[in-house]
Amino acid sequence: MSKILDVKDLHVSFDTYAGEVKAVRGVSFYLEQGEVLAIVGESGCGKSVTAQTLMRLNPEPPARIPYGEINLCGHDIIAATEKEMQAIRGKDAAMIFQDPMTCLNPTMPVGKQLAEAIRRHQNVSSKETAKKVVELLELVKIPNPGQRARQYPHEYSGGMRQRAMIAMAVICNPKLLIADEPTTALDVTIQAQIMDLLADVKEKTGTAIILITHDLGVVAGLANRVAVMYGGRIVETADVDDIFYRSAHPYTTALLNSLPNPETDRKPKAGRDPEIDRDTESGQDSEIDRDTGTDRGIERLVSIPGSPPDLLAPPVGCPFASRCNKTMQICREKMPPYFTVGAGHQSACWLLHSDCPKTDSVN
Amino acid sequence: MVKYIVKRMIFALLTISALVLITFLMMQALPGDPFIGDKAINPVTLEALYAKYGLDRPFWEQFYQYFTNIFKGDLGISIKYNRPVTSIIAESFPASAELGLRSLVLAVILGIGLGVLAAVKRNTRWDTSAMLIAVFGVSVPSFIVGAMLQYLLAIKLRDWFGSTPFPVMGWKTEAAKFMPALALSLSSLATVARLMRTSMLDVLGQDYIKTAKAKGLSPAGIIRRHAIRNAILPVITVLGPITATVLTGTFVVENIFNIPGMGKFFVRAIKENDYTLIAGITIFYGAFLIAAVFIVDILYGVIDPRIKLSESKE
Repeated sequence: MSKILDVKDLHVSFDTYAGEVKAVRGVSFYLEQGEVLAIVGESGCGKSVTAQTLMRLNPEPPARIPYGEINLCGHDIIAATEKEMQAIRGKDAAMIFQDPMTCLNPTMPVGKQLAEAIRRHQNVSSKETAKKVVELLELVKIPNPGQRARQYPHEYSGGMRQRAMIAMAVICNPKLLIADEPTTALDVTIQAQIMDLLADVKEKTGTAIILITHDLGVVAGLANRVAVMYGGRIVETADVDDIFYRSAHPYTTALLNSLPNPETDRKPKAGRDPEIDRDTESGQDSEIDRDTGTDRGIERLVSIPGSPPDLLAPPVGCPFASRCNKTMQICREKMPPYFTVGAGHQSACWLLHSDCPKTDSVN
Repeated sequence: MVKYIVKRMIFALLTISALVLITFLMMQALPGDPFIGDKAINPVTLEALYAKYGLDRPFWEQFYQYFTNIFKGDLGISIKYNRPVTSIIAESFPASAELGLRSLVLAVILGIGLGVLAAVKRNTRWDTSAMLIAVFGVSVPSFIVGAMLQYLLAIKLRDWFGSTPFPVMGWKTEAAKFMPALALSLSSLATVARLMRTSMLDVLGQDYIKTAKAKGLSPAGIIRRHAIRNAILPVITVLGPITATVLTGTFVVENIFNIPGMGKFFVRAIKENDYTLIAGITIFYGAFLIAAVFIVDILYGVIDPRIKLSESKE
């Protein structure tokens, strides 16, 4: 397998009135043909900026790429002119956005919006274009594709719009599909359908996918590899199983811990009989208990205390140091390098340094 | 759709009826008399004149008579010109309509162009210049603009170059028609430009513009195919009021450029208490305006498929 995307030490900054916001601070990753890479992280960690930079979709200015390399299917994206980018966008790489309700032009029939991409990149007759549009709508399982193609976005449901977006993205057979939080704006049942569809589309078209999300649950089903981003940097990257079962960065661990667990969530702890509790405790008591939560054995949702670093003045050391429960002196002073944990598994945490006392594991 | 149109027509008729009534009431309140002028007039003659035009009858009778005649296409006989009002309108309306249409087209095309330019080149010299024109257009009334155009294009241009295609006034050549149309359109043009700029900036920030960019469309293609059509909706909305502005503006501009339009007759009719002519032209303009607004509403539904004329689903 060959690399279709290679990103090296990418920096992206935004020039604002308040100063330079360093949204992405040295990110490196690669993608092989047909592979699915998930980039996870909380809001504002730079994942969307990274994704949009791959297609140079951020308006420049205010966005700026002070440093870095992006090689996409042999094109040097950083050096490409706007004209060259236009030829690459939609053809070599395509993108699906977060909110399908606002991503389709409300005054243009859906089929016509799909056809635009073909007409832009391929020299085919209008008859063939129309055929291809119907074919693609069929691929994304839109019923009655011929009729649906003539309809406007407001006649589609949210899930159908996202399907149409996927169809539009893969219509020119891109080698890379970037899905920027494709399920965030959809309700849970539709989320699962869209993820299944992405897997199906990947199977049928062989496109590689970069899946951007803040939902680790979404990642597990589709991704081959995961890159965890925090504070404009990738803090850990590994195969999907390694991330879930052998995570080697406190942030990844904290993220995994904050996933709600359907097995234990909101159930009383073992050893206490809920019947007796209810009978013996007075109403007032139980109200106090509900406030403090854990006293009654109810497991609350776990969150990571603190907030992400201010990227106007990012910390010199590890971005997670101020929220980490294993912070050492060096964490605040020096940016941790990447330590290789296993095959294809790297983590930027000082705990992995050979001089670090091994009294406690990273987890 | 048919039901909607019928409903709108009924409303239009009611509006016109109210318009006739109000015009009639206001004419009653006007001081003066159509027949008493500089020359002394025999009371018997005056009596006979009143009887001829039905002015001796009670107000409600006059109103009823006039109102029923409208539906027969009869707007009465002008007191001053002694000709049917309909024939005066038929003779003078084409020039007014042409002037109005020319300025409307200028206002919409130049206004949208300026607005798009200002939005796309936001915060540059282009933007500033376009908005400067817009502020000028809103704040300077059409008769001043008209006089300035006459001075610059007709007089100064001849002074500088020996000849000019623009006459000071008249309604014969294309060049002669351009000046009043521009003078009349400037304030509407400014409104359209400002509205288009705001709307365009809003649309350019929408997600579907990013989608279009991600498809590989060129900036020009994005603006042409995706942005303008969505941004134009607010402009369509103001087309109704703008038509009204342009229509009433014709009175003034026609006077400055000596255009043989309806404005001249209207102003003179008011000065001379020519009751039938005032009422006739007012009703004609009213009906015209109502029709214009109606067309704009239909146009709105054509441009934005999300807008369905409310009754059409039933």
